[in-house]
Order: sequence, then C-alpha cells, then structure tokens
Amino acid sequence: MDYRTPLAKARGLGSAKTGTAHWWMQRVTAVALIPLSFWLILFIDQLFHASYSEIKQWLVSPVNFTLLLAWAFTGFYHAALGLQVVIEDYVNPDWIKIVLVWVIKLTFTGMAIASLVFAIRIAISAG
Amino acid sequence: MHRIMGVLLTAGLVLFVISLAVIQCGASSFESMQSLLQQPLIGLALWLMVYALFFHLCHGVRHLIWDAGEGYEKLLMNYYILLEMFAAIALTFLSFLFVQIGS
Repeated sequence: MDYRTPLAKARGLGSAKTGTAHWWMQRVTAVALIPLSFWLILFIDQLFHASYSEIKQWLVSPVNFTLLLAWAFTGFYHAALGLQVVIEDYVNPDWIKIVLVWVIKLTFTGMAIASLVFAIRIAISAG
Repeated sequence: MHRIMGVLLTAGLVLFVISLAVIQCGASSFESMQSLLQQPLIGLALWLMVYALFFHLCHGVRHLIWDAGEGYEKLLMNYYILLEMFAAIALTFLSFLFVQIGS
C-alpha cells in the first residue's frame, strides 16, 4: 500500500520546467491544424488531377504558398511534440530516451527545412 | 490509440515532403508519381491515411473539450466515440467526392 499523496510524491522532483509551454503549444498547433488539414485535401486534389504546370501555378499563388508552409511547419512542430511525449512516456532507459528525443527534433527540423527549400525551388521554376 | 495514430500519421508528413521533392524535380517525375497515384491500392492507402488524419482530428477536438474541463460524463463517452468515427468517415467521404468530382 502506498499512502503517500500525489503531492508528496511530486515534491522534490523539481518543476516541470518548460512542460507547460510544451503542452500548450501541442494544443495551439492542434487548433491551427484543423483548418490547415482541409488545405491538405485541396493539395491531394491537385496531386491527382493537375498537370505539371497547373500544380506549380497553384502552389506558388500567394495563398497556397502561405498555407503550404503554414501546414508544413505546424504539422512538423505538432508531430515532433507528440512523438516526444510518446518517447518520454514509453521508452525506458534514460539515455535512449534522450537520444531519441534529439533524433526526433533534428529529423523534424530537417524535414521542415527541406520542405521550405523544395517550395522555394518550385516557386523559382514557376516564376 | 490517439497517440499511435499520431505516430503513424508522421508517415504521411514524410510522404508530403516526398511529394514536394518530386514536384521540384520536374515534369516527368511528377507525371510518374501521378500515374502511381492512379493505382487502386495506392489510392486506397492514401484515403485510409486521410481517414486516419480526420479521426485523429476529431478525437483531438474531444481532447480539447476535455482540456476545457467538459465532456467527462460516463454515459456520453460511447456516444462521443461513435460521433467521432462517423464524423471522420463523413469528412473522408466528402473529401473523396470532392477529389473525384474535381476530375
């Protein structure tokens, strides 16, 4: 039997540090992704039916270019935050946990940079 | 469940980056990707991912409602999950119709 209260267990472990900001940004990005997910459907529609010049013109219009980058950055951020929580909750040895969180953060930053580069290259070739 | 879905959906993000990479490669690569998308099985996999996305979205809305301190009534739990599944199916179907009619 464990008679200690949750508060007594938490005492002395230190604060959650940036935990609140992490939790909060997970929610903020979630809300932003609700409308942005519908933009993704428009993008899928283009992938199915547009000709090459059509999809390029579509992607580089100011609205779609903005939504593309907003979708990509918000999505990667949201996914990185979510994967970090899953790793922290289910991966056991501490050093593996820390390394995996690093890998996740670097990978998703890399993918975000890559999509920015691809988007700029598409814009240059369309212009 | 919500977490597993989220982990699986990151595969979709990778596919999204790949599709951008293919588009910036040029017309011929884009056209081969498009013909790949015409394959029924690949189309099915894509729409299943869209369904997973919408389900994750709908369940995420419930998490936001939970965070706001509402929606904990025991009787309503089963009702909510059915509502989420139905809403996700409806959104996927509407998107599918939208893409089909666009052709």
